[in-house]
Amino acid sequence: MLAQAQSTAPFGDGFGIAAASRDGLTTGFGFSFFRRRHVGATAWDVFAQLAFNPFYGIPVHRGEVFTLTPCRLLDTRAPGQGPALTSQITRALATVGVCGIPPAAKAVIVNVTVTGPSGAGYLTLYSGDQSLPVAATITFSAGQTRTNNAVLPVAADGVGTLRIYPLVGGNGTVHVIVDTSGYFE
Amino acid sequence: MLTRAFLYILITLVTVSSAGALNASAAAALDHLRHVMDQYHDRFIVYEDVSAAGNHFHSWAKIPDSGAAVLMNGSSTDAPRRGATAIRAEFQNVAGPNFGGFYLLNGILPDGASSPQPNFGTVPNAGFDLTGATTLTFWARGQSGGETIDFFMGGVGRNAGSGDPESPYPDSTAVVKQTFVLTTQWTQYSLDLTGRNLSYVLGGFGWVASDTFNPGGAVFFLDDIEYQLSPAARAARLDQPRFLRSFETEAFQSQPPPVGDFDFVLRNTAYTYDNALALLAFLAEGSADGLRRARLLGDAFVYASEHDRFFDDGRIRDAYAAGDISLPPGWTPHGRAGTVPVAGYYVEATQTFVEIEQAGMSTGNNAWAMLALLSLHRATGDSHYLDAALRIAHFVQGFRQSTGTYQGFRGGLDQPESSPTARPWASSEHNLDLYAAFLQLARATGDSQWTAEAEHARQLIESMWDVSIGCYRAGTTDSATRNESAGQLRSDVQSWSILAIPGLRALHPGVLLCVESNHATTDQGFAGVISTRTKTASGSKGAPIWPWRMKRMGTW
Repeated sequence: MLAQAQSTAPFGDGFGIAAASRDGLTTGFGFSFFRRRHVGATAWDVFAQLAFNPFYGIPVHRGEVFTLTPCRLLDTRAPGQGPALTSQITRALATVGVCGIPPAAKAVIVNVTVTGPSGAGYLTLYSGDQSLPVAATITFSAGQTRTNNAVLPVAADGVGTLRIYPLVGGNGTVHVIVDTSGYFE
Repeated sequence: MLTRAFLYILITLVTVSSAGALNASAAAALDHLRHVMDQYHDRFIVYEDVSAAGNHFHSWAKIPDSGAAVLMNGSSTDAPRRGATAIRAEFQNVAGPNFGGFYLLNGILPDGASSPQPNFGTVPNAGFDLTGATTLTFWARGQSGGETIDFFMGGVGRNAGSGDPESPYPDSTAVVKQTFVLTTQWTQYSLDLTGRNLSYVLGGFGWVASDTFNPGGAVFFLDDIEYQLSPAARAARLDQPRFLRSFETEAFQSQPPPVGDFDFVLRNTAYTYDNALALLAFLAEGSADGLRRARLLGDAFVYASEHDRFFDDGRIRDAYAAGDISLPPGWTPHGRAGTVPVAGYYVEATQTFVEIEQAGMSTGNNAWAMLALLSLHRATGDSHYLDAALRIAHFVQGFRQSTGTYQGFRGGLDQPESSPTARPWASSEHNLDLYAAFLQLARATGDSQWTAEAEHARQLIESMWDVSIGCYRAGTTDSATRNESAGQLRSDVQSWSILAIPGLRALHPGVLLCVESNHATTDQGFAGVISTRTKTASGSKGAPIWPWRMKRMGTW
């Protein structure tokens, strides 16, 4: 369709891409669309053709983002990985060598799940060589199971340490599952 | 913000294209971007169309004085040679010995002025350096044929006969003048500038007619007035930072809305978002010329960040004017020289310049400038780009919403100059942009505050996921209310989420089904997506485009 838009009259000239298929399209946000050759639309064609991700300025499958088959880094319910986290007691988690994450990884892409919290609270996941940030990674209520995703820097300590800081009401506990689907180098 | 044309199709293509292979479509698209980028810099334009981005010498002064019986209309649609408009010029032969004409001067724009004022060499530092210009060319035709007109440049502040200076800061050259007899056919004429000192030009173009040769008066038309440049001067001008105008508007002028207004209103508009994408497209190309062009765009963003007419905090406006990166010498709105021009259009009837896209200032556009600058910093190692991105990031932090059910970063400001008001709403799209920008900033600086800010943006995004429809909502109306309007379900938020948030498909594997279900359409023989699902499912078709909002303001 992009090639068609690029070449087809009346608004294609074989080079630029028009922004719309007709004039005066409404958007629902108080502005309209017109079928003029458009720098933005044309740039998106370049990204599409070159498999380039403009959000990170890198080729989609040749750059610094590496995807992994989803893999579990931690499950505190599993034998040998527990017990559940206790409020205000930080747990360290090594990532290098687990799930195919290499020593060159600078950050990991994770899904964080909490389950069975004894009280309301939150988790903050952060790099093992940084101080505890203000922003929580996931919040929860008592008894709730919730999931959130995040991209987290890991420590440059050779094992890619992540820290998990829990705060659970009533000095309670919470189980945590951390899955990864990729990493940045 | 805006439109992401054919984005869902883009995502599909991303999965099937060969990285780095410059296929025919990409090569042609990059040709278009290069053309747009160079269209006002391969020569020095005096007049192309009214409000065209390349125009210079905006202060039009009558000769010999304001009482001269002469008229000029720069918005004439009476058979222009090319484009939308030409200049209609008229010498009216009133009783008695008579002559008159116009001088197209650079002029000055003092603090507080709403339009440029003539400068006949009394004000310093208000002339263009056109060194390297070889000829001044222009097209003209007479209404009846036989009109005998003197055309000239230079000579402002100098004696017309001797060429000696008469003002303290005159043109660097004496007048260069030639008389032409016009026909009714468009004909190109030229003034030879060989050997002239053009280092300080106040008077870019002018004409004078007299009753001696035009006893019945004269009406004639002018178009495409340009200084042609030597190869060296041309190369130097093409190496100047600048923004690309967003749309290749059609040659409509004063047509009924909406089409005619669009082409008129957006003739010189360069949206920040488009220019960030253009920068990234040149980086994606990966050639030496692509990197050079990306740097010119990055330099333009840095310049704009540091040379705003009003603000000092490094923010980026939603749109600027294409063409030169700075206002002309001698133009000093708010007392500031060299500020970056804003977009707008000139209304001939009221002789008013109307600014556009200055009624708001969006976090999303600032985020896109950050994304472009940070990628350029990584490609070049030039800290200027990182520094500019950091300034923008600190500006955007002012919109951090830290209380309420829905937080993230709000949409920016309304009326940023006259009555700045923080927008109560937050946009999913803006926060997607910011998420990626803050992550890049964290990686570039090693400063964990930006990781935290990225996470703050991402939490807003995730809170917009509506499991009942399997889509991200467009954003909030305030920190307590999610915007669940049926007419405001955006397609770009769904598709961009995959690009902006690594690993997102593991969390929401069906996010693109939202687009298929709500936005897929066919129109004019094109299969694509609409930008927003409107209140009636079939009410809007085609791919998206940019908003065009306008604001009349009293200053440039």
